[in-house]
Amino acid sequence: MSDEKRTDEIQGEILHVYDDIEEADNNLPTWWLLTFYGAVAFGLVYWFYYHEYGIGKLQPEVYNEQMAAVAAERSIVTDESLEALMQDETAVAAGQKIFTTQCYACHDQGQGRVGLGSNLTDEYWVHGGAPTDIHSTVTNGIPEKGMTPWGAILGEEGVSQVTAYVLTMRNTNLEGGKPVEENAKVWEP
Amino acid sequence: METQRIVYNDKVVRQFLWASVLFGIVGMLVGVIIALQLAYWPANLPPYLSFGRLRPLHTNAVIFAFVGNMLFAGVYYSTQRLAKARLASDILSSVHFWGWQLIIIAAAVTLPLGITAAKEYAELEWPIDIAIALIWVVFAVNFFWTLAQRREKHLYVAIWFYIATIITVAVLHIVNSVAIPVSMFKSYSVFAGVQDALVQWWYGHNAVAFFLTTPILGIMYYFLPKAAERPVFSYRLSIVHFWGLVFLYIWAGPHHLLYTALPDWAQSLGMVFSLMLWAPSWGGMLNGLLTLRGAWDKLRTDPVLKFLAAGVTFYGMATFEGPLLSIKSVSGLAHYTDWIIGHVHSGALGWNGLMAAGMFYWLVPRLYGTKLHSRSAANFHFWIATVGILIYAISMWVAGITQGLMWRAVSETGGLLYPNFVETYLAIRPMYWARLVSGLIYFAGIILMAWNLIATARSGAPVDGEVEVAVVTEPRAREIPWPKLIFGQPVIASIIIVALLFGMALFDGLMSTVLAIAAIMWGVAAIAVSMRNRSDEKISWHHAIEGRAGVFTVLVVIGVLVGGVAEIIPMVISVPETIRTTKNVPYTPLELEGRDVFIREGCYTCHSQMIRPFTWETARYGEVSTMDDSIFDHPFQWGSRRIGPDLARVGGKYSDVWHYKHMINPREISVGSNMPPYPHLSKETIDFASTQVKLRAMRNIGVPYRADQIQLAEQSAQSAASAIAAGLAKDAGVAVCDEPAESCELVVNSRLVALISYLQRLGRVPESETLAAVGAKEVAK
Repeated sequence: MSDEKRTDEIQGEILHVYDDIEEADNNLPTWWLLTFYGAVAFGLVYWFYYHEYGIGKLQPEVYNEQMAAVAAERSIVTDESLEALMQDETAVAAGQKIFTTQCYACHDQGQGRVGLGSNLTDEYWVHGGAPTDIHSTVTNGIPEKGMTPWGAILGEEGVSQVTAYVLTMRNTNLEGGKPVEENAKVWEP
Repeated sequence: METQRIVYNDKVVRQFLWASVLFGIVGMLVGVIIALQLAYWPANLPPYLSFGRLRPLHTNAVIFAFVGNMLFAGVYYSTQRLAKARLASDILSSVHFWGWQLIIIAAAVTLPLGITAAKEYAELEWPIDIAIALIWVVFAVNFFWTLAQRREKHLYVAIWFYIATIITVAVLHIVNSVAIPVSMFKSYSVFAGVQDALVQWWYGHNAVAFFLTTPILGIMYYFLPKAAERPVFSYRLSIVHFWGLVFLYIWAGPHHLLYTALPDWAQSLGMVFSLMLWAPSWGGMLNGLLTLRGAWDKLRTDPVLKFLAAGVTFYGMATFEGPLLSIKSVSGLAHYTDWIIGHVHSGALGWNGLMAAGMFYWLVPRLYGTKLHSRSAANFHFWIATVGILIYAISMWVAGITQGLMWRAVSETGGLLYPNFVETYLAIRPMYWARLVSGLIYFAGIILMAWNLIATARSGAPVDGEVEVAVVTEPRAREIPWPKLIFGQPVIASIIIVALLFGMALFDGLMSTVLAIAAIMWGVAAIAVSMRNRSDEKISWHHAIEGRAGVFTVLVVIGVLVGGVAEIIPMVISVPETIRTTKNVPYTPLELEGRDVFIREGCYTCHSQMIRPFTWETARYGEVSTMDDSIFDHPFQWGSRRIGPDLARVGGKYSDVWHYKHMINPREISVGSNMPPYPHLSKETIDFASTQVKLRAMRNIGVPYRADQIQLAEQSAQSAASAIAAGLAKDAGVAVCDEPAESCELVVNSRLVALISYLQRLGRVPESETLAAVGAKEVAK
C-alpha cells in the first residue's frame, strides 16, 4: 500500500492499493440503504404483528378455521338422494370421469383387480351395497385393505357423483370380473 | 532499500484449476443425465444409475468438485498476491489438492452404490466426512499460515471473504455431520426430526452462502478490478455488505422449512432475515458492477469481463429471487416445485459457472505465459452459456408455477381439480425437455471452454508469478492491544443491539416493544457516531482490524455463530421434552431396515414427508404433519422437492400388493409416472442379524428401544417380513422364496419387503406398541 493518494476521475479518491488493485470509497447508494433499512423495519413490524402481539393469524390457525368452516357446511346424504343423482346424466358422466382417472388403478373398469380393488359389477358387496354404504366407503376409504379415503380429494360433490356412477354398474357383470371375495354379501334393498 | 524476490506457488493453482474444469464437465454431464431421467424414465438404469442416487452425485460434484476446486484455485492465486507471500507450505498445498480429489473420487464411488447419509449436499458417509474435515483444516492452516507471513499489513476485502468461508464451512460441516456410525459405510445423524431439519437447512442454506457465495465474492473482488483495470467502487460498501452477509446469512436457513412442523417463531425468523439479506447481497453486486464504471466499453471486446459482469448480474438476480421465495406465501406456492430448482441454477450456472469461466479465461494465459487461444470461441461460449441459463430458468419458472398451481387447484365439486399427482407431472413434462436442451447448450459451452483452455496452456509453458518486495528491517511499530480492538465501539454497539433484540424472546408485547425501540435508537446513535468519527484523520477502527488477521477472524466467528446459536439451541433444549411426551413409538426392526432402503435409494430426492397446513394439501395427503411424526427420524426425511407425491401419511393408504406392484413396475399402477422401477429390491437381501446393531445405535442417540426389543430384533424382523411376504403370495400369487432363485419373484428377507413395511408405517402409530411408549418414559428418565 502506498501513501500518496491518487484521484480517479470517475471513482474519486483512491483510499488503498493492494496488488495494484485500487480501492475507492464512494458513498453507499441511498436507494440501496433505504431497501436495507426498509427490510429491517419490515422484519420488526412483521415480528410484532404475528408474534409479540399476535394480531395476525399464522397459517395453522387459518387452516383450522377453514377446516371448521368446511365441516359446518357439510350436507346430508341419503339413499334416496343418491338414487336420484343416479338418474342425473351429467352427474353420472362426471362420476364416470372421476372413476376412470382415480379408481381405474385398483378397480379396472369396475371388474376389480386381484389383490387390489373389489369387483363393483357383480351383485356382491364386501363393505355394504346400500348407496350410503358406498358413499361412506368412498369418503372414508378402507385403509386396512388399501382403499384410499377419497372424501377430501374428490370433495363432497365428487364423492356423490362417483357413487352415482358406481350404482349404475351394479349387476352389469363385466367380463373378467374378480371372483367373489370372502365376506361378500348380496345386497338387496 | 534491500529487496527480496518471492516466487508464488502457482503450481497448486494450476492443479486446482484443471481439476475444476474436469469435474465441471463430469458434474454437469451427470446433471444432463438426471434431467433426461425426469423427462424420460427409461434413462434410469437401476440400481446404480437411477435418479435417487445420481441426483446427490450431481449436486456434490458441482458444488464441491467444480466450484470447490475453482475456489481453491482462486483463493490460492489471489491470497499469495494480496499477502505478498508464497503459500506457507508446499506440502500442505499438495496434501490439500490430492486429499480433496480423493474425497471427490470417494464420493463418486459411494453415492451410486447407495452409501448415503441422506442429508442434502451432505450425503457423504462418515469416513468421508472426517476426511473432508481434515482436508479443510489443512486448507485453513495453509491459508492462515500464509497470512501470518504476509508482507502487506492490511487485509483486502477478498481476504475477509476467504476468512469467513474457511471458518463458517468448518463449523457447518462438523455440526451437521455429527452422526453415530453403525458400520464402515452407515451412520445415523445424532439429530432427529425437526432438530435434524433445522440443523440440515442451517447447513444447506449456508453451504450456498459460504461455499458458493462468499469465496466467489472474494474472487470477484480480486479478478474483476484486475480484468477491468479499474478501481473498486467503494471500500465502505465492502465493509457494510461483508458484515451484513456474515451476520444475517446464518439466520436464513429456516426459509427452507416454511409451513413445516418447525416452530412458527423459527420460520418467521428465517423469512425476515432472508428479506434483510437482500440488500447486503446486492451490495456485492453493486460493488462489482460499479467497479466497471469507466470500463463498460471493454465489455464489448473482452470475454473475461463479459463473464464476470454477467456472473455478477446473475448473482443479483438470484439474490433477489431468494428473498422473494422466502416470503411465506410465495414459498407456499413454490416450495417442493421446480421454481426452486430454477432458482438454484440461476445461482449455480449464472453466478458460479460464469464467474468460474471468467476467472479461468483470465488465469490460464497468465499461468502459462501466453495469450488466450481463441477469443471468439470464448465469446461464443459466453453467448451459449447465457442462452442456456435463460432457457433453464424460464422453463423451471413455468414448470414450478404450473405444478404449484395445479396442486392447489380446487374443482367445482369442492375436491382437488387434479387429484392424480401424475397429471401434474405430465403437464410440466415438456418443460423438462426444454430444461434438458438448455442443459446441453450450457454443457457444450463448458466443453468448448475446456478445449480453449487446453489449447491456450499448450501454446505456453507453466510460469510461476514473481514479485520483488522490500525486506522489512525496522522493528514493528507498537500495536493496539487486541482487547481494545475486539471490544471496539462498533462491536460493543452491536452486542448491545443484539442483546436488546434477544431480550424480546423473554418478553411479550409491551416490554418487547420497549426493547426493540431501545435497539433501534441505539443503532441510529451508533451509525451517527461512526459517521462523525469517519471525518477524523486517524485510522478507522475497521481499518485497524484489517491489519490484525487474528482479531478479524475472531470477530467473524462471533458474527457467524450468533444466528446459529439463537435458532439451534432452543431446539436442542426442547426436543428431549418432546420425546418424553410423544405418542409416537420407534420403528419396528423391519420398518427401520425399510427406512434404510428408502435412504439408500435416495427416495427423499423425489418424495417429501411433510404435509403443510393447507386445505388442498391435506386433502391430497392427509392430516398436517407434526413434530411428533418424525421425532425418532435419524436423519429426518422431510424432503425438499415433490417430483412424486408426499409420503408422510402413505401408510395404510394402499395395500401391500399395490406397493409391491408399484415398486416392480410403477407404470402398471400409475400410468404416466416417471418413477424409476425397483425390481432389483425384490432379490437383494438384508441380513437381519445386523439389525440389532442398528437398534442399539439408535438407542444410543435417544430412541427409546427397550432391551428386549433390541435382543429380539432379528426374530421380530424375520417374522414381520414373513407375514408381509405370505400376504403377497396369498393376495396376488407372488412367487415367494427364502433364497434368491430363478423361479422366485420375491425373497422374504428382501429390501422390497422391508421397504413396504416402512411405507405402510408412515403416518401411523400402531396401538399395540404402547408398551414402547412406556419404555420411552423410562429411557427419558
